Amino acid sequence: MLSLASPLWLLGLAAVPLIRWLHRFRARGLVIPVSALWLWREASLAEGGGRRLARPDPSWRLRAAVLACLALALAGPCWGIRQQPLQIWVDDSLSMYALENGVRRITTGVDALIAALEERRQPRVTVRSLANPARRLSLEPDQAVGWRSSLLDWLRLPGGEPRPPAAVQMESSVEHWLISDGADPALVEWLPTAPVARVIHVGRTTENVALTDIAARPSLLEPGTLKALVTVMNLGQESTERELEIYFNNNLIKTERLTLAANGTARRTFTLPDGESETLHVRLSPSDALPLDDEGYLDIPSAAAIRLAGECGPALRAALAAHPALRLVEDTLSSPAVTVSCGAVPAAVSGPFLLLHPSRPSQPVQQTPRWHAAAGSLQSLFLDHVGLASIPGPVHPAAHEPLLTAGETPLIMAGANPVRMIDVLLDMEAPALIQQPYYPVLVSGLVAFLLERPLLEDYPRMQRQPAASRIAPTYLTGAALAPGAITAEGSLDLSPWLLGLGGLLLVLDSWRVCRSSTGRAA
Amino acid sequence: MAATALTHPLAGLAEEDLERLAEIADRLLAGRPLTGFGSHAVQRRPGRGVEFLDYREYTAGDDLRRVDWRVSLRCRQPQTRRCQDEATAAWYICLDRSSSMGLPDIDKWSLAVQLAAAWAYLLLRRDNQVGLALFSSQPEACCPLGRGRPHYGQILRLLRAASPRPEGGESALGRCADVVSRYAGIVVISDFLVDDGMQSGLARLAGREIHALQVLSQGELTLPRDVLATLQDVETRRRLTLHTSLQAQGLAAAALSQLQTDLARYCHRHHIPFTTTTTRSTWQETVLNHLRRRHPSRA
Repeated sequence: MLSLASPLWLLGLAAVPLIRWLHRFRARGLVIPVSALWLWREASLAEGGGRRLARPDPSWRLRAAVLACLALALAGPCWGIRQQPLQIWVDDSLSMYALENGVRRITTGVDALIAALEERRQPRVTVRSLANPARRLSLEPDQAVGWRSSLLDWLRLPGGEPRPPAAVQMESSVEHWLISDGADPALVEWLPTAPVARVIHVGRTTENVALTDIAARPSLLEPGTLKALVTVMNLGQESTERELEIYFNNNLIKTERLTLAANGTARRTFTLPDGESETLHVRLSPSDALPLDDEGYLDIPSAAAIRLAGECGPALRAALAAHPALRLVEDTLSSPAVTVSCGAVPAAVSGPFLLLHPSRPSQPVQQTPRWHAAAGSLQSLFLDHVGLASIPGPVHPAAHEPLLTAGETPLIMAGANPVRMIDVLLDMEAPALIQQPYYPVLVSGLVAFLLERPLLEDYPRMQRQPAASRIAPTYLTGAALAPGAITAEGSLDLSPWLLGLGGLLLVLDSWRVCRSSTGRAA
Repeated sequence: MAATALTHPLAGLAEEDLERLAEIADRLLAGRPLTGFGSHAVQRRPGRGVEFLDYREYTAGDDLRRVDWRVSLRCRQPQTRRCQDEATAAWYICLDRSSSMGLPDIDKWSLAVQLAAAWAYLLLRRDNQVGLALFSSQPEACCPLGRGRPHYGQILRLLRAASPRPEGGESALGRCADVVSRYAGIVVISDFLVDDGMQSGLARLAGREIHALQVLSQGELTLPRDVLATLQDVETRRRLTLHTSLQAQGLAAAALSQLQTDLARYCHRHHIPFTTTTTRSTWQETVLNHLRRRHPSRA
């Protein structure tokens, strides 16, 4: 299909009839002296009077062809798929939300895209996120007025670090554009391999300080307190200063002036009181080009409440009390996270519970215990049968999932209907067991199984990839880039061919004129 | 167009050829003078000569040797024979040097010059007085009447130095009447490519012996075929643009043919020997063709 980039130049073809008309009046360059002009008068009259030729100089065809070739070449003809659909890849990583003169880079990019789309009649436009290529937005040509608002709404929040598709995965039947600041090195590496016809480059600012890490965990040395860690990085190219503000449960507890060298890092640790759910809020001031990474929130959950019911043994009680993620509660009004029932299960228990049988007689385990797949992370705990004692007897009717067995003897059974529960048929007060170093781990694992979350490895943390906060733009270049040119497969720019043909015709015309002039002179 | 030929056309005029031609001419003319034909009014004066003119009555003082006794006996009165004044055997060769004589090639001029020289030789050899007048829009050069070999040399010198005008110079034959003796005969050598075929000029020279030789080029109407060209009249500088098609050239040839027909008719009517030649013929052939024309004797 033939398409024209600048069809207005076709108006030049209107000069073709003018050329023909002029060649009826204009005397040709070939002037032949004759001895008696009146001899040719009759011949001239036969052509129409002599003043005006009935037929124009045949050279008009050649010159009109030159003009036509020039007009067509300037019109920018392209044989192919210039009107192919357009796919816009938007870099919606964090750096694109940096502010420059009060305007986000992503907004600047959208405005530039709208301006570029207005220059060409594009039938179909699809916008895709580089962070999540499956996410796309279609821009309908009849709704061009609302494109800007639709795009800005679609790009309201950062999508994440770019995951550019492989070049082979990019459709060859569409024209691909890219909006990016080039801050991500992955894009710089990807672009030369990708069939991108046009890049809308945005961004100039290079300086940014980011809060990259906020973490808190129970203190190992000071029970009842939390140890918090804050990491600040200067991702710019110049040293700078920032004020670090730390809020704990909306109370400012600490400020510090940080001086950061270019690409420098500052880490600060401090102690916080532990209690019910807390919120740690860290903020840098003043805000910079990318305010999204200048503050962070960390929700610190409180320890899980464990209520003991019945006559639980001291070893079990001690293991539960020492667990940093657990706290024993005595009151019966609050709902514990887990109820540990040593004996019969209280009727008021509505949540997960751990059932033990300390009053029943036990007998040694003869076979090596074996964890079942349902035990999950407990499988990593190796239990030797030596010293283990099992408590025979009826198993709680709800516990039908074996977690630990020794041969045919059930040792730990689990159930989930109506609530999660574990029936421990191990003697948890057996001297050999309580002396094992894994005893607290076993207790922790059983509680974690009921709570369905790890208790010892997990601690609250907010992390950001430093690379995501690096906003220094890179001007994207690549072999596939040809500003203004159509690099989509299947298209052929006809302008050079037309210019060459026009030049050839011009040379031919000049040669004919010279030949006629010199021939007559000879 | 100036005669820039490496070899001057007069170089081709060997005296032997001229002498041979003269002998042939003598035989053709059989001793008769070179005259016109028909009953046109030719001014001949009585005077010293050998050619009989007429008789008149004897008056006192007439030479008795001139009395024709036989005629006197018949007329019963003495009659004196009068002879034609040899002064009337004078000829001017009027050579057209307008710019058209140099187109489309120099061969036309070369042939014209050769014819002029040949005619001068023939006339001088027959003991005529011969002069040479070069004309275009006006008489431009003139060699006055003279006799003999030295005069032939003068004529040749003038012819060697002559060339057709590069441009302009309409052929105004009638203006030659201002320089040519009214009793001298005229040999006009021209292409006669004027609207009226120089009939008006010939008419102005009426009353003289006139011979007309039309010299044309073999490719007089040859043009590049099938091109759009602007033809420019080399004399009037007027221009005409047309397609040099076969049809156009045919029409031009027809116009030329009509010119020659009209001119021949005019000359015949006015007793002017007229010969057309082209550069395809030699000067010898042209002269002999002209002399071989049958001239009915004058009454």
